[in-house]
Amino acid sequence: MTNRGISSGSRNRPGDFVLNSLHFARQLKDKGLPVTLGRTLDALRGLMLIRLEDREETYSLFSTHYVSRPEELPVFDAVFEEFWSSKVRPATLEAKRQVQPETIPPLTLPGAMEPSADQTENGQQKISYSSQDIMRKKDFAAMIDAESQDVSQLIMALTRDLGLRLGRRWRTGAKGRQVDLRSSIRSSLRHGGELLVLRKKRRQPKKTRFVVMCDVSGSMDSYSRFLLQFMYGFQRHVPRVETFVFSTRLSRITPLLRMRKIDAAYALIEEKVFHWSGGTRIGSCLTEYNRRYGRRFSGPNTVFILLSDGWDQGETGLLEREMKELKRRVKRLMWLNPLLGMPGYRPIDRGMSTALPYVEDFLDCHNLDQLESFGRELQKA
Amino acid sequence: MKKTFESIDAVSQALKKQKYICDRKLATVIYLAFQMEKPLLLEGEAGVGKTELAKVLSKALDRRLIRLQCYEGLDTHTAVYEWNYTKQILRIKMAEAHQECLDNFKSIFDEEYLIQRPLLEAIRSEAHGKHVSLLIDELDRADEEFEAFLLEVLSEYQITVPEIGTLKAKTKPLVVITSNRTRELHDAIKRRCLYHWISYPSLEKEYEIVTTKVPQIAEELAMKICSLMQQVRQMDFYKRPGVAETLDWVSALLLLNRNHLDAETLEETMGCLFKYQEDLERVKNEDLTVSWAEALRS
Repeated sequence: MTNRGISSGSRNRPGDFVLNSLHFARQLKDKGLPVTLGRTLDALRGLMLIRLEDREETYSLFSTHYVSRPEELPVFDAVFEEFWSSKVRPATLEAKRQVQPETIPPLTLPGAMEPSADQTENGQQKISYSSQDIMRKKDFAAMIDAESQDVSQLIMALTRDLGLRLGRRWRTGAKGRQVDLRSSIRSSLRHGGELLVLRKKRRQPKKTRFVVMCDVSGSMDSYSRFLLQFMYGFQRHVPRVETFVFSTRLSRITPLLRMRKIDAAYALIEEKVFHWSGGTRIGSCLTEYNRRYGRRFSGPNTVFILLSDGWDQGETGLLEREMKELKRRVKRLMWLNPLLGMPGYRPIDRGMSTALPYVEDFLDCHNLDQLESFGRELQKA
Repeated sequence: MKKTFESIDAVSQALKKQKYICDRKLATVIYLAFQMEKPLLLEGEAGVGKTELAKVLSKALDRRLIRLQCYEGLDTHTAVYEWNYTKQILRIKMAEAHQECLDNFKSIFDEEYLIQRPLLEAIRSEAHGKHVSLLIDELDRADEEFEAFLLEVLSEYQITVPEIGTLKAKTKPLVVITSNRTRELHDAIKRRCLYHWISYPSLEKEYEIVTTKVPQIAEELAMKICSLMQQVRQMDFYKRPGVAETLDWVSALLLLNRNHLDAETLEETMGCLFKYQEDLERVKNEDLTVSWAEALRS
């Protein structure tokens, strides 16, 4: 980046610069960055500490206030480049656009999750109780576009609740191995400093980690959108979660789902994951997981959750080997299959029947109710 | 005497004196954090110099560095304060032997029996007019509960010990928080801080770092090493080598008296760059050392 000035007249007309900064903040917000009034005020305060004519200093001032994860940097860079350059030379704006056809990726949802018209002002949508009840039982695959917005919100509420329950601290019991000197002394004061009762404390058990791996192959198309939403909420509200999607290949999406807005997260996934709606090779994807990530994410505290319909085109021997390996290395292996909700479905196809012996919990996930009962199962695990 | 940074350029110069090369963007953020009295939140891959920056900053400002290393299960007893129970019991026993009245036990909850941990130490130093810098290292390893507690400390700069009272810092310490992003920090923490992502350095910057830190190295060799590092980081390794690894490698080459990078030398010293068996295996299986050596020759 050159040290070219941002605006030659900006020093003399600070009012304009402030106004422009506000417009700039607005644009960043539109692109999905976490812009708040507080941050903007701080950034404006910082304007006095830097040389406005210095592009790099201005860049740093704004980026340090508006960017809070590396995934947001490309978005910020693009808006910064476009906004502050166009302000310098409005006459050459058109020419500049032609030289730089690079446009900012629109952060919209893939699929049909357009916000519907009946949204309330703060973006929250009101859902009536009766419709909620119906929604909970409805198969994800049978949802129409207008309903998907409601469901996304219900999914978010469900994961938030789950996060609260899973995050609860373990109660320290009366029995334990370690002496809690702090409270022992405290209670001894009651008896004139004589240590009559030794209070014990129990070490908080190591916290559970979760790995969620979702099938996004063609056969899962009608579910993957909702399951992805579930993963987004799950990762956001539950600590220590790693997320992956797979079809013929495996992609780790944990960093992508970290975006503060789900639209931005979807846009990133769309950009980075190429094997969407492809075939399925569960075995080789598990090989990749076990080889590349197993050491880091699998362990005696890991609950591994696979979301898939089990239609596998790969070699069954490989699938069996990798399921066995996975089972050996994690605490609990759960398989959620949306087809379980189908009347008359039996897991007898090649892939599913190979994998089933290694699965401890085989659960349904075709509607909200089922996702919720999965949450209860998780709490027990 | 309180040392300060007068300008953004002064920051870069002061850091360069301590052999830390930082670009203008980082210097600006440091200056802002210093002037606006906000904590600095540094994120980046392992080995890009996050912790180093905190150390160097406190040296440049002539302040004592107080470091809190985070880990899973870190609680307030290890981060803030703890009572010295053994000493308290002894005191009670002594009082008993001398038939002395302990004045409602207030005297054993005196500062004399308090074990200060990093956070309390930092606040107390500042309360007594001694400027310190506080490094909270790898906050992503601590539990969320601790993060919430830290948020409170960072907003008020005061700590309450129920038996003694509330201690408030008169001035704010310079706070540097680092995270390796094994998990995402809470938004509330991020809002309170100035954020900076330290990426892997550019070729020019890395060259400057290497020649500043290890001046004995031949310029040509340093250039070759840095350009190879750029290439290696483009590849998909389990753990890509950072600047720390580059510096290790340079030192190793100097110790071994190697002044050119042939396949054999590369193979012998790959352990400096890659710390995971999977990565080393990949280098071996794909004969990467041979192709790298070839690329360097041309």
